[in-house]
Amino acid sequence: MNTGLQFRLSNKTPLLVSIFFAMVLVVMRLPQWAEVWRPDWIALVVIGWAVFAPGVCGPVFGMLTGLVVDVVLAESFGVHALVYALLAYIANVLNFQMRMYTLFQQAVMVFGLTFIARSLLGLLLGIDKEIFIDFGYWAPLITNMLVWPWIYFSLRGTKLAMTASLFEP
Amino acid sequence: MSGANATAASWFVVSCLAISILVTDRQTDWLVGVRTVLSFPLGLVYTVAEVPYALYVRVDKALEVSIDTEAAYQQLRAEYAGLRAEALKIGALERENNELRSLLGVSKATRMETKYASVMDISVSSFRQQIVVDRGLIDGVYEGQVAIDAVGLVGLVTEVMVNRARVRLLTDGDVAIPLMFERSGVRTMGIGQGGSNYSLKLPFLTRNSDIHEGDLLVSSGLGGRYPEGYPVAIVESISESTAHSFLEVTAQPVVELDKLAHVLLLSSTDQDAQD
Repeated sequence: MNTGLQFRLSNKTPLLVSIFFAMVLVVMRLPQWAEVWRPDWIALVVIGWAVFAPGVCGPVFGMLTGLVVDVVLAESFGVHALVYALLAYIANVLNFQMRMYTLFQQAVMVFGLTFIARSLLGLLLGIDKEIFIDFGYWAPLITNMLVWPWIYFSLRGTKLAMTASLFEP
Repeated sequence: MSGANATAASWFVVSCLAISILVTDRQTDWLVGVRTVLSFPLGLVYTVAEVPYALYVRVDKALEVSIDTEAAYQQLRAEYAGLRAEALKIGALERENNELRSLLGVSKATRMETKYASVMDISVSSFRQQIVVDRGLIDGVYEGQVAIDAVGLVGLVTEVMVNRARVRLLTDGDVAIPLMFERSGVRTMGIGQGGSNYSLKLPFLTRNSDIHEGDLLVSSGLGGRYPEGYPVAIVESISESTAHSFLEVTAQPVVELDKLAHVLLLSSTDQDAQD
């Protein structure tokens, strides 16, 4: 599978920085009306890296990110780990298709992926507490689609810049 | 195909690992230490996240029309004098109450000490309703402390980090508070609605209960977790359906939970009296 086109990020700093800022955006204070519309930034970044750098960002990366997110959001250890590992795995498998798609088709895929992620999250959190599957529960899926282009351009731009720097003498 | 198989295999292994971690964390408290240690560097996330809001508050303040300082000062002075007089009265009442209690042979009422904390983050989603405050282990905050503000009860400290603590709001879906109607003395339980709305439901009131819309609910102190007598909520709606033997009652918290800026963390200094 390692054909030479399959590129491996040697420098993981952009990965960590993007995850950090995704977490900042997730805990950032918003007006109450905007709270339900908050996109799942971390899921989007995990999908993005799993598509653009599948060699680095796979299930293991997803799980480690998830464990950190579980501390930040005070959920049981392993909840987000399980969700993001699955997300990274599916995005890994679909990475060639995703890269061929138009931005709109990608957004639809992102909707599907985050739908799976949110359903799994609801199932896991619903084991021991009552959660509310109302409109507010699904609203982030819509904003996820809308913010995907920004994630796409910033992550792809970073990746291209880094790949280019690899070929510099 | 070996690459795809390797991904699938690693996903499978990782998922099994995550599930075992999940079960371990739910069933035991072995991972609490790990969480506390990790929460220290991850506090940086909260520190960065509060920058935009702090900027917003600063800009908002700068744009505010300058208030008449003299008038505001006079008004606050008058308010202070009133509160001071009230505090004297309360002090006298407290002494009298303690004397009466000692006559009755009941242990002294717990004296509450308060600690001021600023709210750093409010998060309300389908899963949780909680706030993060800027006091933690180093300030002596402990799990189970009750948070109030000037108006009434806010919630309970559920997790303590090094310099932060998480307070679960009383309207979270996981919270139940023993309550009492101030007017009629009827005791009941208030259960958080959760979700993205700030309200409580009171599911255990029968149709002959003496309650009205607008009644004030205070904490009853039963169970010993929440101290007695703090205002909690006001009855908003009462609906009766013939299908159920209980009333469907919802109540709005007296505290404006979406506009919290500061809270007071209560700790009792008189530990013996709790027994």
